[in-house]
Amino acid sequence: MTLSALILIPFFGGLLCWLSERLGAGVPRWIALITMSLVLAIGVNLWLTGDYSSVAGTGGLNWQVEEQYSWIPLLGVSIHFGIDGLSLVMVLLTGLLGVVAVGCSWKEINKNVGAFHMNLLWSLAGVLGVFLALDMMLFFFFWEMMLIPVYFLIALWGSSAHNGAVRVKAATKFFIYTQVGGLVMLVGILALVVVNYKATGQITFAYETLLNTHKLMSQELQFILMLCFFIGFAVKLPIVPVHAWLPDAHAEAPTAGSVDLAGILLKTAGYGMLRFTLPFFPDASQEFANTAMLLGVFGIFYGAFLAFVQTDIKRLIAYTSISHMGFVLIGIYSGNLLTLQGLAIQMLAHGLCAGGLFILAGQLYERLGTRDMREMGGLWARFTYLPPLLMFFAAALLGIPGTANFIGEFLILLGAFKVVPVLTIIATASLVLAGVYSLILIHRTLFGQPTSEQKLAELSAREISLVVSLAVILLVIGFYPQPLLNVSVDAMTFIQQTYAPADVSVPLPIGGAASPVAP
Amino acid sequence: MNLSFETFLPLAPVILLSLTAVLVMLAVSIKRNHCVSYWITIAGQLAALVSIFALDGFAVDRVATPVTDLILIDGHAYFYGALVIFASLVCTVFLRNFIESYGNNKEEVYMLLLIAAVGGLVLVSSSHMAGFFIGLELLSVPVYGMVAYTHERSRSLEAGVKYLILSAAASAFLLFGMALVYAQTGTMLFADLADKLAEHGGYLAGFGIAMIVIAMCFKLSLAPFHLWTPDVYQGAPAPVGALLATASKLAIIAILIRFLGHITSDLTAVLQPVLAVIAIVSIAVGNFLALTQTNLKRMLAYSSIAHMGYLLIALIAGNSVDVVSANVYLLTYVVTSLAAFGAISALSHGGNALDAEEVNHYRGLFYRSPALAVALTLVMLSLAGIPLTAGFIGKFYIFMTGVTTSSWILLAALIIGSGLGLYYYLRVMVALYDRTGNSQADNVPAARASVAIVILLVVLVLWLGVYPQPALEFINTLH
Repeated sequence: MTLSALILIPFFGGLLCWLSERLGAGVPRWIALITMSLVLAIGVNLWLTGDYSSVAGTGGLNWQVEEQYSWIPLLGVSIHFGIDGLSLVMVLLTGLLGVVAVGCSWKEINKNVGAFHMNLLWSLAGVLGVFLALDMMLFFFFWEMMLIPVYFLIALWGSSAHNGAVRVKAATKFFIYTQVGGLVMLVGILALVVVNYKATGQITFAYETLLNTHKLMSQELQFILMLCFFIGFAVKLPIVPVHAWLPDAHAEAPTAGSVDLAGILLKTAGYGMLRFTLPFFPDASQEFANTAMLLGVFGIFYGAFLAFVQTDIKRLIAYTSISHMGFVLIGIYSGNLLTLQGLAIQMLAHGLCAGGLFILAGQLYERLGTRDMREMGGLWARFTYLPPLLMFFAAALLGIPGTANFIGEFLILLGAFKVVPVLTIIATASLVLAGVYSLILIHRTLFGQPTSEQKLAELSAREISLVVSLAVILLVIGFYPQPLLNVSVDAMTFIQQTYAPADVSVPLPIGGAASPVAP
Repeated sequence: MNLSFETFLPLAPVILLSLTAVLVMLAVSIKRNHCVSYWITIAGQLAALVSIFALDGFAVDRVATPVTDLILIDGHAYFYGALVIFASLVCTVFLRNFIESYGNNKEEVYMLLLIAAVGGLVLVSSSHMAGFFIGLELLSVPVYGMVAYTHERSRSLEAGVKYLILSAAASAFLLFGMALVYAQTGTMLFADLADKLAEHGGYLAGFGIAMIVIAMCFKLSLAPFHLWTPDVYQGAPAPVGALLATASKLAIIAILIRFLGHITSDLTAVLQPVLAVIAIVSIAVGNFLALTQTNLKRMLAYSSIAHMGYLLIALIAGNSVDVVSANVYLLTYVVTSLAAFGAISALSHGGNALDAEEVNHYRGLFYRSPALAVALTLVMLSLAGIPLTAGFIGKFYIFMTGVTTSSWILLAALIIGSGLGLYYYLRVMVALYDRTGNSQADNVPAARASVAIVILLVVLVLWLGVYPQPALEFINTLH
């Protein structure tokens, strides 16, 4: 029941938000906050009660909690949830950023508060479904379902800087990109099911059954289906040729929408690649790995360069996301335990860091009425708390040691070096660019000639506590990542062993019971 | 042949509907009363619907029963028949509010509707060229009248005439095709067609069959035979549009499925690539032309062209028609389209010069009529084929057909078409929540009965989308 509760709580919480709007604008906010705190609490409870590093080394799947209900037996579809370390990390991130997203819209959203929170919570429910589903049809349902609320968030509550048409355009672009990607993936899913059906006579969408399907098909077919899955996830990650929706969507989304998008939605794609693309098509993925990593490196530089020239602060952060997702792609396709473990941290860190930056950008916008960095400058003198916080997050963005971002990038690069040394060296060079865009962000906003001497409204306790809590978590993971590594080790070992069994002989240097360096 | 009561019993729905039409006519001639005609129509259609179940129409052990040579009744015929009656029943309810404010005679429209429904029932169960033609004409001719019923509106009259002429042209094609087939094979029975074709194969019969299929494409408004569709949809009163989009399309698809099942495989092999091109062109034309429409009815017309293109994939992808996919798609499409046109009907009145058909009419509908707006949102999502709505289940089956038969090009068309489709469906959807001033909202109160039916249909859309198992099981057991 726990796992369905994780999805049903935000779903019904959202409904309640909508219905309770007539009682006053405050009611939906509190309901949403309580709902997301509940989700976070359940996530933490799953963390504390589960044992996510028990089968390390054997390379088996380690579902801590599993639930299954009958749904459409005719098509072999069931409602099947399961949670392992990888899902848990993602669920924790979703719960945390969910709370933060509700918190940061407290003052920003003033029209149709109930409906706003309904959409926010429903999108989170969809995301949680994606992280928990173990049935491909169910997964696809959630994958598509989370788009609609996000579409509404952008189209109806988006930035007031432009008129509605611009917002709708951005939202539509986002929807069409991801939907078309999703349909390509649907073809992949169905083809997988049909291959399995033709070979075994059993029609099923179950994850664990389909894991063996790749043995039943030719190399070419495997490669094509892998591409179907890859395209579906690539659009969402996003990878450079199909990234065009991201900056627009971020620029037009409300703060909570941006936090939701950058922090959580992008991670569903990384999760999907790890959970589905690699284990479903291990051989084809290896064949494709070099191309994917090249795309990743290209994305890193492309994102970094474009981030540098942005004048809109939210667009700048959006492009840094593209850059960071390039690292994620390299991590995924390097496929040894080091990178995979680093990946879990990197995704978490990027979610928290981008979320924090978007919240700060939202707070700046609330006070200055602009997101254009050319009109900022000299803000250091006009605030007390905001500048150091912005500075901290900018530093985290460039991956300074002591923050979780450093751990993630470090592990990914360390692991990838064993596989593709040249590419890794090139990718490492991009860290300089990360420094450049982070510094230019700080430079343009905080330093220089202030446009006016007048002090701006100080951050409230709510705003400070939101951002500071994100910062603290980044620091804690940065200094002591071991608990998190222990959580993800089983799931990652499984992925690593299906993807690249040859690598098993290499000692596993981090995490869990298999670690030679015992914690 | 022995004709007895039992022989005609399977025709009970047809007979009941015909009797109702006569009854409505008599009632009108005694005293004109809108309410009486309406309730007679409703009761007659309900009785026909009940009779299908009373006859155990969907029993698993049911064998196909011929009623003379013209009609063959099987589970599929009853399934399509039930859908036709359901669609016309729903249209009746939409019609009532619409026609209430119409200045001229109101009652005859029900009679026309009933005759069209009879035509639909005959068409879906015919097993003979004559039955085919009679059913088709019986379905089409009353619809000309219905399209032009509000003849004070010039668009309505224009649409009626347009539909009449082009339909007649299509019927001429059909007849000539039948004549050619008969000339070569000497049979009009579907059941003998395959044998006779194999025996006396030749260009003449092949040509004839091609002409029959072309006539069907006309009626289904598949590109490049689609030119009448947007004008007729726009000109027709909204409830009649609902009938055109659902009952009429559905009956023609049904007979097409039956007909294609009876022709030889070497003919199918010739037809297949042609129909595949037609499907792709329809998907492209429908979606591209819908992109710029600001008129909801025209948009739905173009989108129906695209939807027929999707449906055609189920008919032609494999070596044989994938009947289950087609049926699932039809069911979801009919329910969704009825709801879409129902929403337009609910806001339209026969007495006005125009229906509520511009997208601008719907701007900010959420703040005037929240229930209808939410319903319309779900309808748009269903038309776009988003999960948790019926539309997704339909599209899912088409995808499944495409994948099992490895029709990658058709699948690519389906994916691109769906992507394009999102653009205009989303545009309507977001307009519903637009708060900016709305000059064209004349604050027409939404008709309650129509809104209630739309909501019921949307509940059905959600139910089919969330828990399709019972419906799918039912369609799978049909034979």
